[in-house]
Amino acid sequence: MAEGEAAHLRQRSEQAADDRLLAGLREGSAEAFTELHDRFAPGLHRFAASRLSQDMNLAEDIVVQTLAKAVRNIDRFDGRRATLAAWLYGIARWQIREEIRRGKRRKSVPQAAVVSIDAVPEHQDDHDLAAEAAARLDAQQQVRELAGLLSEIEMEVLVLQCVDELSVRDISHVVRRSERAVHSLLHRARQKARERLVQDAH
Amino acid sequence: MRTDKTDEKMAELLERARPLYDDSARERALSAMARSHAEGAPRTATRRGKWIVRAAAAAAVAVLGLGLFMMPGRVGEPDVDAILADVAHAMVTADSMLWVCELTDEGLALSEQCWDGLIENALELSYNDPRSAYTRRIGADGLVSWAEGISLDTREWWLYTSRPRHPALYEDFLYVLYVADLAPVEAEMADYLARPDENRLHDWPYTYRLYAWPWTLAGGLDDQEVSVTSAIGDGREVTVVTFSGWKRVLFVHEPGMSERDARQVALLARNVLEVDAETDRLRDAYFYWQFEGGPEQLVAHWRVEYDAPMPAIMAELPDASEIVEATVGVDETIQSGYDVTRLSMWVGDNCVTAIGVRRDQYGETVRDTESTFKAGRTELDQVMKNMMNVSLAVQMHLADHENNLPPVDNVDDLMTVLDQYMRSRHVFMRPGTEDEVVVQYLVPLGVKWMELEDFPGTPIAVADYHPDFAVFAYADGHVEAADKSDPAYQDRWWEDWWREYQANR
Repeated sequence: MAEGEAAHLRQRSEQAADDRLLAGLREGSAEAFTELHDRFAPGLHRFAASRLSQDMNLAEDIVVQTLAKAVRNIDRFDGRRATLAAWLYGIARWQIREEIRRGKRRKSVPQAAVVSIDAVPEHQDDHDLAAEAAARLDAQQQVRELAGLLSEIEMEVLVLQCVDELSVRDISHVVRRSERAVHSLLHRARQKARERLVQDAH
Repeated sequence: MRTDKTDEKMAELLERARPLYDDSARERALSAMARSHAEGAPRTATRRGKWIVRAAAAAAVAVLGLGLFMMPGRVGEPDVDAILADVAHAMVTADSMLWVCELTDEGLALSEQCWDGLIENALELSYNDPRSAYTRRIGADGLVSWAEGISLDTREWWLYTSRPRHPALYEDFLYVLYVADLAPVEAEMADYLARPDENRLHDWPYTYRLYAWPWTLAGGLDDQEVSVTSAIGDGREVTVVTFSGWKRVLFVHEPGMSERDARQVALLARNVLEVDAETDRLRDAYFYWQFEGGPEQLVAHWRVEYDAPMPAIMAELPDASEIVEATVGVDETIQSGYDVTRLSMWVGDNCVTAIGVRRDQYGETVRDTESTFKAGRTELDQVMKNMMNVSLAVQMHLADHENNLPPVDNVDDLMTVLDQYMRSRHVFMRPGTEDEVVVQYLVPLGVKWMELEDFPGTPIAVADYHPDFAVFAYADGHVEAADKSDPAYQDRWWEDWWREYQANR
């Protein structure tokens, strides 16, 4: 099957899945809520965490608020203007910005790396836990350094591209820039990030 | 599938860095969604009821003779800034642009009795590319009333007008034509022509340029509403952005009558922009207005062509009774708060016209997403000082009035109340101007200082008129400048905050 045809079929099937999901959400179906959560929460969480200095509690709050807001406003979603993913990330972005603004006012100190004991499988011993925490702390430090290197908008487009592989069109909807502007932002962000990522790999 | 190695590495890094998302969060999210649904997205019946109310309201408005302008068009509202930014981007990245503006009979009739920068001529053609810029206005009688041309190829800069007292002319000339050799200003002129943001957006008619700024500010219309819809035109999808609101127009009965003797009239105005949905190119723009009780009239229609060749007519020199040789020169100046290199055309000791090229943008061709915050530093510094003065005056008022905020809800009254504490009323005005009040007072009437004390981050006043920056005075007395190219600013969070605050009081 030609690559273009496969992509087209994939797109149609995603569209059909979105339509089913939207119908369920409008009806208030518990299965639809679960599906919405399971499909999008991990990506939204990573996106939020990358923008909120890896603050676990805040990132979780953003996911919860985003999904709740999406359900409340589901009638306002217009599939002709944006995909469901782009719409959700747009809501999340707004919530994050609001949170950052509030945070500045509160002058809160973001919670750094937290590894939840509850989430660690039982067979892991203390050594595994310590190693995992160290690795995560290290990775979080790298993300923070990258965030310092990139502008806010560059970091956003790069994360959106990497987390859920959003298309440029979707990203442009989320960050409210033209597709051309997103291309140029992505190019610049990759250039800046490349050097740092290679450096860290060594 | 990711094709870029950097993206792959970045995705891995984000995955490794991500704090754990546990089951409790999942449960919280699911229950929040269920609660949200139960609390209430409007379901079909409710929505229908809402439409009935809205239709009844619209009918009532129509009966009152206010037309349909007042209907709130909220569809797609959050995207208006993005649409306009994309329209501007499509303009500045085109190789060349041709604007054709036609004034209708209604517009012509109105132009006879009304002074307005927008309404001047029956037909206006405007063209520019990186080597040339031409403008020509042709009156209802077929005569050319204004023509201007700059060309690096013919090395000419010329200007013709048959209108005396034209505001663009420094002196009062009638039937004049200047031809100048560009050599002394060629480099600066090349910079000017090669900068499409300055050059092409300049040709975006005044009213529409206002809307390229955050549309909620749009200085052109009061109580503005905006709506976005889709349509099909010539087989292509078109995004239709409509702005409507009140516009104040100064009527004069004879050309040359002073503004003091004129009568100011408010009318309903409607601007319609038709944008190609695929290319983001503005194709047509319409300007309508309506006097109270009268029918709506189409006043002007703009048609835009991109990457078009220049019509030969535009480079033709109009007939003139007199040709005067001019000289050109360059000088540095501050204009509207910007450092500007001014290219001026001189006849003897008289500067007859000039082009200002902002120095901070030299060498840049497209601004795109880059910040322009650095621009206008001088003006920004002055506005910061002004806002500190406003803020200080509010604090002094608090001290003298048992911690009560000025009991006002608009800036005019605020000025009166704070008069005794201020250096001068000019702190409320744009630097360098005498009468343009640019400060907005944000505190709703009746809010007590004690209520704000818990919110030191609460803005109490904002000077928000400049395309690049806004300056806020906060409840705790400090002052901050905001970069308008920052998306955080574009979200206009303080408006949401105030709405929320007022709703919860």
